[in-house]
Formats: sequence, C-alpha cells, structure tokens
Amino acid sequence: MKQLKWFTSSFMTLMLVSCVTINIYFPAAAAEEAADRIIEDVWGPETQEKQQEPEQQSLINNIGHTNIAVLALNWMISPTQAAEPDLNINSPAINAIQAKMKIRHANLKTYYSSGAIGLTVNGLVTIRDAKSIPLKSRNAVKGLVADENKDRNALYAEIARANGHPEWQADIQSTFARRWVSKASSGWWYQSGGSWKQK
Amino acid sequence: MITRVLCSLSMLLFLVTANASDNIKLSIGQWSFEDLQATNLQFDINLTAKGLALYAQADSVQLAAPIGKITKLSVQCDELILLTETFSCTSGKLSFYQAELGRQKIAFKIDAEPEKDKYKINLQGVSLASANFAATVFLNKKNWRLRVNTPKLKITQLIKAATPYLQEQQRAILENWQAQGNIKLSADIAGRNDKINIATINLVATSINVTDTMSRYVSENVTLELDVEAKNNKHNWQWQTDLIIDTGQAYGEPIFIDFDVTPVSLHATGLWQQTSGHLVISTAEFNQKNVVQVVGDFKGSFAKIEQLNIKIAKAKVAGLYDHWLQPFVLGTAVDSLDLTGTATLDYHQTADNYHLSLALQNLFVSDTLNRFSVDDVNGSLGWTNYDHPMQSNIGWKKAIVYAIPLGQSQFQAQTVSSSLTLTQPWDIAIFDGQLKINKFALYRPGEQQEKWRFDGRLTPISMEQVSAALGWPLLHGKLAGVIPNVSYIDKHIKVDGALTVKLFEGTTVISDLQLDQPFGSLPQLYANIDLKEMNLSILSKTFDFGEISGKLAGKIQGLRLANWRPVQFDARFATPQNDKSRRRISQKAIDSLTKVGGGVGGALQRSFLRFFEDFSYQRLGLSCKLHNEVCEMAGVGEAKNGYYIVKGGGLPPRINVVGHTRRVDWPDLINRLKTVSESSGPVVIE
Repeated sequence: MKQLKWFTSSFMTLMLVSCVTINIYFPAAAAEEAADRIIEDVWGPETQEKQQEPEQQSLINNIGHTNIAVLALNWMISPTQAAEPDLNINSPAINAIQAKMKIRHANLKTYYSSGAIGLTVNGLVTIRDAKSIPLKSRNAVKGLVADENKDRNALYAEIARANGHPEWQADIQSTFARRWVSKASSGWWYQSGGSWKQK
Repeated sequence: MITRVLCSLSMLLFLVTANASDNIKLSIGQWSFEDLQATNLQFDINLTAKGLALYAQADSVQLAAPIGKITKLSVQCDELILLTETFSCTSGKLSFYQAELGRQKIAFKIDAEPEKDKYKINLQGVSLASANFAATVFLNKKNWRLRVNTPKLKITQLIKAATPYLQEQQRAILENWQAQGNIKLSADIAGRNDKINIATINLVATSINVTDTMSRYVSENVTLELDVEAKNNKHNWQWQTDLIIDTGQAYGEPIFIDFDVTPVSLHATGLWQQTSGHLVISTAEFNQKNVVQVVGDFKGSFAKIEQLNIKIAKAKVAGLYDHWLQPFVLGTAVDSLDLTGTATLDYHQTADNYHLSLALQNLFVSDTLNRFSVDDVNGSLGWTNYDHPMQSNIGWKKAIVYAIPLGQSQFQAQTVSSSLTLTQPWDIAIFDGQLKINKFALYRPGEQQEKWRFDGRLTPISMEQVSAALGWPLLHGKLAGVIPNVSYIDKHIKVDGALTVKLFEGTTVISDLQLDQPFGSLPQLYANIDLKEMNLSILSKTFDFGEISGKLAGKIQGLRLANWRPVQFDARFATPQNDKSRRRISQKAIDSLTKVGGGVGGALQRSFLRFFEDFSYQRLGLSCKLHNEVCEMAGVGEAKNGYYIVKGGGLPPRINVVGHTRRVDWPDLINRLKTVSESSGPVVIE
C-alpha cells in the first residue's frame, strides 16, 4: 500500500512536471506543415507527395520520449494547454530567403539529380560526389552549396526568431531535415545513419 | 680480372667437346659467381670468318635485387671479337623471362675492356610497360652511366610494371589514385656503385588524367613537360627544374586552372640535403599567363619552414581574385566581387614569424549583390605577427555600404603582433557628416578569430540626405552621436553607447544597437529607440498628414530588423504627460487618422463640425506591438469597445478618435500609412 502511494504520488509529480514541459514543447506538427509549405515552394511541384507519417509519432519524437507515460500525458492535457501554437512562416525576411532559395534551386536541381550533391542529416546540403561535377564547375557548385546552406541556416533561425522562440532553431532544423528528405525527388541522395542513401 | 673473381663451382659437371677445333661446348650444372647463380648453364662457342660466335643459355639465373630470378636465359653473339685487352660484340641478342618484366628480347652491342673494367653496352628493344625502348650503359670500374630514351609509355602499364618494386606504403598511396595518360622519358643518369651522381631527365606527359578517390585533386587531358637536372655531391643534391603545363585542366581543391587559357610555367633551383631532409629553393619563378607571376625562395624541410619569401609582381586583381582568392572565400561576404586594379604582394616568413605587405593600385571593388562597393583604392597594407611594426596607409575615393555613401577616406595604421591600431584618427565621410574614428584596433591571430573595435563620434548628418538615400519620407533634422565603443566579435557588431538624432525639434536616442552578420544571408539589426519632445506640427507637415500641434514622445523597444525591414518591436507614441503646449488637431489629420485606422474618411465633412478647422485634444497616442506581421494596437486609454487614439479635451468642440481593431495586419497598416486612402474607422464626435 505504501509502495502504491509512493508510485501514485511519483507518477502524479512526474505528470505535473511533464505538463509544464508539454506546455512549451516545440510544435512539431505545425513545424512540419510549415516546412512542407516552404519546401514545396522552393522545390516546386516536382517534389514527391508528402509521405503519410503519423502526426502523434512525430510529436513524441520531438519530445524525445516514446514511453507509455508520455502517451498518457497527451490525452490528460486540456485542449487549451496542449494546443499547438501555429508556426508563422509568412514574414518578409522568410519570404526573401525563400525566394532566393527558389531561384537557386533552378541551378541546384541538376546536381541533386546527378547525385553530385545530397541532403545532409542536419537539414543542409553538401557535395556528395565531386567526380560528377565538371572541373570547371566545381567551385561554382561549391559556391551554390555554401549560399544554400547560409540561407537554410538563416531560414531556420528566422522562423524560430519570428515565432518568438529562438531556442526552437535546432528543432526547426531537424524538422526541415526530415521534410527535405521526405519530399526529395526520386533518385536524389540523402544522409541516413551515417551513410548515403538514394531515394 | 679472372684472378679477382671468386668463382666456386659446386656440383660441377662439364663436358668439353672439340669438333675440328672450331667449336667448344661447355655445360655447367650449377654455377655461383658473386651475387650471381645459374643452373644448367651451357656455352657454345664457334669460330667464324668474322671471329667468334657465342651462344649461351641457362635454365635460370639468380641476379641481385631488384631483378631477382630470370629464367630461360639465352645470350647470342654472332660477332664476338676477342683481342688482347678488349672484346666486343657488335650484334648480340639476349632473351629471358622475368616475373615482373615478362619475356624480354633485347638486341645488344658490347665494347669492353675487361682489364680496365670498362664496358659500353647498347640495348635495343627493352620491353617495359608495353613499350620497347633503347638504353645505353657505360661502366667504368665503379662508375656507371645510363642513357634511356623511351617511346610513349602508358602510365597504367608503367604503374603496373613499377608496383612490384614499390614499398607497401607507396603502394597504399597509389591505391588512392587513378592515373591515365602517356609519358615519354629521356634520362641520362650517371653514378658510382649504387649511388647516382648526376641525373638529367626530360619527361613529356600527355593526356594525363589523374584523380584521387575523393576527387579533390584531378587533372584532365593535361600535357606537361618537365626537365630536371640534379647533381649529387656527398648526399647534397644541387637541382634545377623547369615545368611547363599548357594543355588541359586541373583542380586541386579549391583551385581550378584551365591550362589552355592560362598556361603555367615553373623554374626553380635549389639544394636538397638527402641525409637531413633539408631543402633550399634558391629561386622559384611561377608564371600563370595573364594572371600572376610569383618569385620566391625557401629554406627548411617539408615539416618546417625556416625561411620563405614570396613576391607577386604587379598583377591584375581580377585574375588573382578569380583564380586564387575567390575559391577560398566561398560562402563569405566577399565571394562575389567584381574587381579592377592591380596589386603587388611581398610575404616574408622566418620560422613562425611572418610579415606581409600588400600594395593596391587603382582598385575598384564592387559586390555583385550590390551590398557594397569601394572606388579607387590606393596604398599599402602591412600585416605581421612580429613585434616589429609594419605601417599601413591606404585610402579610397568613395564607397557605398548598402545605400549609405561614404566619401573619400584615408586609413593610417600600424600592425604589431597580429594587432592593428590607428596611427592617425580615421575620418570617414558619411553623407554630409563624418564618422570620426579615434581608436580602431583589429586583432586577427587566426582565420576564424577576427575581432575589432573602435570608438568615435558621428558629426551631424542631414536627415534629408539619409531619408532620401534610404527611400524614406523626407525627414528634417540631424543625426549625430558619440560612439563609445563599436565591437565586432563572433560576426556580431555591437554599438555601445547611443546615437542621437535631432528630429522634429526633439531628440531621438538609438541605443543597444547590434548588427548580426551585416553581409550575411539575413542581416539582423537590433535597437531600442527613445523619442522625446517631438514637435507634432513639424512631423505632421513632413508626412502631409494634416496638421497636429503639440508634442509627442515615444519608445520603440526591442526593435528587430531582418533584412533591413522591421519584423518585431514594441512601439508606443503618445502626448507626454506633462505637455503644456497647445494641442490642436486639424480636420485633415483626423481624416488621415481615420483612414489609417481602416475607416472611411470624410466623416467630419458630413457633420456640422465641418465648420471647424481644428479641435483641441487632451492626449493622443498609439501603440503597436509587432509580432508575426501583426500589430497589436492600443491607444492612450480604454474606450467603450475600443481605445482612444485621440482623446478630446479643452474647449469644445472636442473630438475623440477611437480605434476598435486591436489586431492589424502590419503590411496593411504600412500601406495605409503610405496611401492614407482608405476609409472609415469609427469616429466618435462629442
């Protein structure tokens, strides 16, 4: 009986603490939607259809737990408390970066397709197969990659700042990292588990 | 000679047969001679009209490394002439099989003076790397000389032929490379015993395609000619080399050279101490046509620089930048420049201390993204990590940073121990004022560790010019300020202290100014702004808003500009609490306020109040908290279902302007402010 009381009080304490955590958690689903909107705009209609991924799962992944306690917490929180804040991506600064990335994509697309560049695990791009780039174009492609990464980093930071949570930058970046891969066209390369894989 | 030979015959089985005295046959089962061992050796000597004919063969012969064992040896000489002290063979044939060299069928000639240990051997048809070539060997006691002329050899075959003779480490390196192409080699090498004394080598390589596994170093269809001369004096190699590459392309991360367009040549002389590994390059002249000429010298080893001098003769900056600078700065603010002008460079290094002097002549710099430009830069920059100072004196005629024009300026400084400080105050003309920099200090001990700071003051700048340049409505007033400290650390520019702007007879103080990555993808500017005692009459006239008299004060807290556009702030403007001035607002101003508030103008004209030109008010004010493109608005007090933007007071007729919309779309609000054209917010007239 004593153990049961201890367990119950510990569980309640855990839940209370967790409730506070959940209240400020990163809006994973909103971030994915935001990422998808930007990616679809930057990459254009040729990107693959959004893959069906259980929303609940992505939320849990972002919290970083997969245990039953967290699942239990999800329904215990009132709608107001748990309501995911919307993630605004419509600001002149974000639009400006997005526009630059969209223009640049016209040049990058060939190199995604040839496998010369690939998507990194941290939401950036890198030169994957330099051999497939003509010598004369090597530095031009390196420049494109550097500019793209500068813009991507700026984009992730600006989304976080614009939404009043600069500390979300890493979460936004990892969300984008998943979505870039998810929406990559067939034949494009991406990093996964320490190696390159082709879609 | 024979007496000096250590000859042992073990298991000797021999048979000598004489046939009419003109034929001798000798068979030896096993024969050992210094480093040479043979099995089943047979000699057949015939007397001919021209002299002797020799035929010898052996099942196998064991030679010293690197040749090792050869099998099926056959030596034939149809014209062997034996004299007292000499013998010669004018037409010989040698054939054998060796594992790495394969089957060899070589024609040879020998002139020998055995008593003097002198031999001259000509070889024709030596097969190596799928090609046949000729060689001449001179032997004089312990001295020797080898002349070789090869036809075109395929590099792949050459590597294959050479691989067995390479060390494990060398093989491992070769495995990381792919090489194709042809080389043609002429070599004249002389030595004594196993040492080379003089080597003269000419190598012509064509269609060279080389790449490492990571493709970081690649050549495509390169043609080069290399001449090397080297003399060895007690393990000190005096050498000279000439290299010309005039065809093909090469990439050595991150440098790319198209040799068809900009062929390169290198001439160098020096000394290499074989035992210590010490290298002296007495002179090195590198020339890339139409791009750069570099001369230099070097002392040290591959691991350590003792002394290095490099001098770049006057070169066009555009070519230097495109070929040698831009590849290293990709992704930075200076990775896309248009340049004209010339530069010379001197670099001296002794051990870990260096100094560098860069002179610029008529340099024009223009950022292709239109972020900045500098015109007509002249002067010299000195940089050193020594404690011996180097001077810098450089100036430009004009420059532009974003839309801000900078006038002529001269920069005088000195560098000591990677730290640069001004020797004269640095004045930079900005619009009609000046940024007077008193103390500037730059510290750059390493690539990513640059930081600088300065303090100074800004002499008055006309806001008319600022507003015109920045595309703002025409503002009157002066911008000036004392800048106690501006610092650049970790790519952030931070301005301590405050800038003051005399605007509309009031004072605007800009503080906590911080600029992040000013030339980055998304420049960020942060500031807090405090506005005091602004004369509304002048302000309202400036913006053609309709006249309002009175004072206005305000604060813009937490201002953030991203890409030079406001994205976040908390702004409040209102009549100061202790304002004693006359406060009147005109019909036009009320109309304008109404339109800005999203309402329809002209409400006053439709009432009896149209007969009054203006109205007294107690307070007016507006606040906007901008976040996510939405302005959370409030006024100077709460009203029924809204907030007061203008609260009437004083003698009647009084007028209240009440806003009802709390959340306003920011771009929409800006458009309304610009056009003041739409209509009717609720106007309550009392």
